[in-house]
Amino acid sequence: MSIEIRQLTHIYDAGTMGEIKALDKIDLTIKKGNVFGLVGGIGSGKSTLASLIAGLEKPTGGRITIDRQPPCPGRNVGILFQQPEDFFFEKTLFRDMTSGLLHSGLAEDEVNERINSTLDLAGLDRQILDQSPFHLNRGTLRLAAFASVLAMRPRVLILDEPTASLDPMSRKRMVEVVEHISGDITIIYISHRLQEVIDVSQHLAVLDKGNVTFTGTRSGYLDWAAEQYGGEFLPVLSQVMYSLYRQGFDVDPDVTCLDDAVEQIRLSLEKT
Amino acid sequence: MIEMEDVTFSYPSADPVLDGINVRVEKGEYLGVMGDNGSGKTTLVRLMTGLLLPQKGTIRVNGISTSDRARLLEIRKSAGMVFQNPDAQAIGETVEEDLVFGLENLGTPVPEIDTRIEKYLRLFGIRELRYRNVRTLSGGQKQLVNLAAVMVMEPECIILDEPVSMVDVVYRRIILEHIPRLNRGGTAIVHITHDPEELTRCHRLIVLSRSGIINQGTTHEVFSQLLDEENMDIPVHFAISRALGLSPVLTTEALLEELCRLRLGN
Repeated sequence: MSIEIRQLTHIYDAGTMGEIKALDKIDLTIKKGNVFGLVGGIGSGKSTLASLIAGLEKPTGGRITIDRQPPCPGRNVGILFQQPEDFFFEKTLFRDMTSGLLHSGLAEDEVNERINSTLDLAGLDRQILDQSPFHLNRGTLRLAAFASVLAMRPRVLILDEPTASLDPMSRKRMVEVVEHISGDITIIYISHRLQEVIDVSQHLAVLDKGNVTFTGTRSGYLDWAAEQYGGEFLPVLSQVMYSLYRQGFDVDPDVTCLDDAVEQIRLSLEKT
Repeated sequence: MIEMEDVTFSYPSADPVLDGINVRVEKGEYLGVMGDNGSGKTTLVRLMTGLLLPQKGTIRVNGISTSDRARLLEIRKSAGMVFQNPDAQAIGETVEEDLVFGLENLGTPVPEIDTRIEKYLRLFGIRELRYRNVRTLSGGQKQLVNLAAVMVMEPECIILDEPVSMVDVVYRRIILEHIPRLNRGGTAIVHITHDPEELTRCHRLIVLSRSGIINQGTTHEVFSQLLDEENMDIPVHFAISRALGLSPVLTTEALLEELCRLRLGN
């Protein structure tokens, strides 16, 4: 499902002294099955854009369509909120994971089948369903929250900081699941971990004060970011490689894998 | 500053999260704590500030036992904590009220309160948020306000539980540069995170796992030992310099300097 965003504007508290223009006539097209990375600073408008695409708020101007339909949460679009595990409070994880699905009117058998299949997808043991969420670690709970959103079978999925506060193992698992489901689901990926956004996304957009300042492929992003803000929007590895490239080292600044970077630096040193 | 001796803690009807742990935070020290989800990092720092009490062992902050509940205010004056979940910390309706709350409780004179609030809002570049309702802020903005709300009290020790997990790169740099500056001014820091890039300026690191403290030492020592661990991240500069057989460095500038020197040598 492709997402068309045209002249999208959103103003909070319009007409009051505290009026805030969060988005200002932005245009974006997100292709079906792509992972689309969204990068931007605090107050850039990325959370507002996420909640508008998720259909949680109505824009004050412009429009968003998902395959020509308006966004409808729980139907054509799902969202994994920041730190979703903090909202688990039931006696068992099963009750936390299934309450939304049962409220949407699905039969119990169907709910069980969906939860079991998305738990498998997330690489989680089904036995955790009987445990209290208070006895499970954050990594497991985050993946379980992800599995319960996937069980809604959204065609468009928004992941808002899905790996914040996760250890390297859980982070790796989360990214693997995202890569596995992309192609079938269109994913909007929001994260402050630049390396991760670049690794996982086919296309990226940068928001700044409610405007789109960049949109394009990942290598286009690296070239753009190298010229901006003294390289602040580059991941650490790219900062190193761009700095070396500028110092005349024969390296590819767009390399994103550590082993490849080390090999290139080694070869470059040998050549001199 | 903080002494934890033979500390054991478990949540109701669960196995111990921490079992016989010993940790010391010296005055003016910058200590980093790493470890997987569920290894007890957050529990450790909640024990340090007396938010939780151990079933076994003792914890002292500036010589005061955290089980001495009558002296809890003294402990809180010495050690301030920034929580992982920004919503767990917001007290006031507006950002200003949030910052005033702690200072008023410490009996800070009113003109001093205003000066300090202005100083820390300016430091983090969030002056325009002063009168905003805390509930309308984004996750990253709330994290900044929480940091400011603890720093404004200027405690002897600041405990940071994933302080920049939801902050964008620009503010991340501002905060991460400010933490060592605070430390150089004499404030002890305990910094918990999964991101090793945040810990490059620590004096000492502790690595926790479900079986206890599995590694501790200077930042260089611990990162060197973690190089071969499959599921542990280490800073990019450190990994590159070690893979090239150079002495380990922790900044882009130091790595560039070393590589340019090598190139000239060739």
